Amino acid sequence: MKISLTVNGAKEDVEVDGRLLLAEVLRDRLGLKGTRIGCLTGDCGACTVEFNGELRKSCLMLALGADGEDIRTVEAAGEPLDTLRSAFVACHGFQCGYCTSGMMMVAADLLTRNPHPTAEDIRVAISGNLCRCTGYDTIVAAILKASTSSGDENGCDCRT
Amino acid sequence: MIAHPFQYAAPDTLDAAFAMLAGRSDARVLGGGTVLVALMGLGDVQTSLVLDTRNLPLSGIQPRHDGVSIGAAASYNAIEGSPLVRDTAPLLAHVCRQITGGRQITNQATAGGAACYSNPASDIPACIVALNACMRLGSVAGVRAVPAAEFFTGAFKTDRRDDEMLLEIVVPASNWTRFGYIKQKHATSSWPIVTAACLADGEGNIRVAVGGAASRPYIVEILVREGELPSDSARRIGERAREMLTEPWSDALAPAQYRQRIVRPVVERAVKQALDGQPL
Repeated sequence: MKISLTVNGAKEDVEVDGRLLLAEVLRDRLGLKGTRIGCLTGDCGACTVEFNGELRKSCLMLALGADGEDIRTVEAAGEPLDTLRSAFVACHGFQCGYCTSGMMMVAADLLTRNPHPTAEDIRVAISGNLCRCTGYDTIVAAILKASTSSGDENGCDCRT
Repeated sequence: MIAHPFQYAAPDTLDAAFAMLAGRSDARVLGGGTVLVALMGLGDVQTSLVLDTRNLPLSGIQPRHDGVSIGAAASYNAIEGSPLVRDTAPLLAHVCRQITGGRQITNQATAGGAACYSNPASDIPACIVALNACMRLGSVAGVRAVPAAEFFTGAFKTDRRDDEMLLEIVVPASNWTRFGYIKQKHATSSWPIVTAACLADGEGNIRVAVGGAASRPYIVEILVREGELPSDSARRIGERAREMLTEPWSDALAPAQYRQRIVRPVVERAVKQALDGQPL
């Protein structure tokens, strides 16, 4: 079956097997490997994408259900993802990095809705994302840093 | 990738959807997909037809008489954010706000889907039984209304026939002025083990729906005549909830004995929360 979807602003027509998940089409048909597949049960959040402007877990969606829809992945350019990328690097907001793209998608959604979140707001926002390295403190610090966006790449205080 | 092949349809009229479901007893209706797609991936659900509700007019939340109609495909976020729900059924808004799995899940998952899944260890069944909601089901034979208390027939079982789909959950207006909601679970992100949804009117009338303790929700009530204000309602209802639990549910989350032991305090706390008007 053929589906047409917009991914990061580009129109894509893809011939898909109806049994494929959206996450699989993004990764394996469109080459966007930033979207990760972790649990396939909706627990880990590594597959998080923006679907018509709303966060979704793309491993819980059939690709056919994305026909005609607008998807944004972690590869998308623009704010607040660009600032988040720098902040995650500055604060070392990852260990193995597997959860990072999901964390960044959730953070981008949070900062769009609430540009000045507290650490508690951030912890609630990432509650659907697991970091099995348990590096939550630096992830929260990175999102906080992106929200204040001081521009000082070395100004991270997450180690103190 | 889902191993088993299936046909996929996303009709844009209810009549077309009903026609597809007629005579396809193994068809599955797809709401948000947070349960169905995962189960299909695991191979636990195999179906010849997935009927996606995404093009159907089932996501609305509208006034209905003095109550509110929740479309079967309305997401938890849509329900929680609806001023109409917050006004007419604040308990439901409160329960939706506590659904875990992150904003991704609450954007995607639907209360209607949770009701049709009828997992004892979940929030929605007891909540809508407490609210005396009405489930409206559609098929080629027409629309049928079933009280929520009769809709849940057992663990993962409902009164919905194979050729029917849930259209809306109608929550009637009521005189309840206070509510409490307590759920016992292992961790924030776990499914709830036992839940208690309590409604009270401030005059001594109290209604609690207990979820997760048995295979289907059950009601414990104290209804008083005017002027009678029992002082120990919470304890009495908690004890009655335990007495009524003759066949406790058991699953991977907790054995039956555990549920039997915690049902009284969970119910008591929900009643106290409702009566005190603040979380414990």
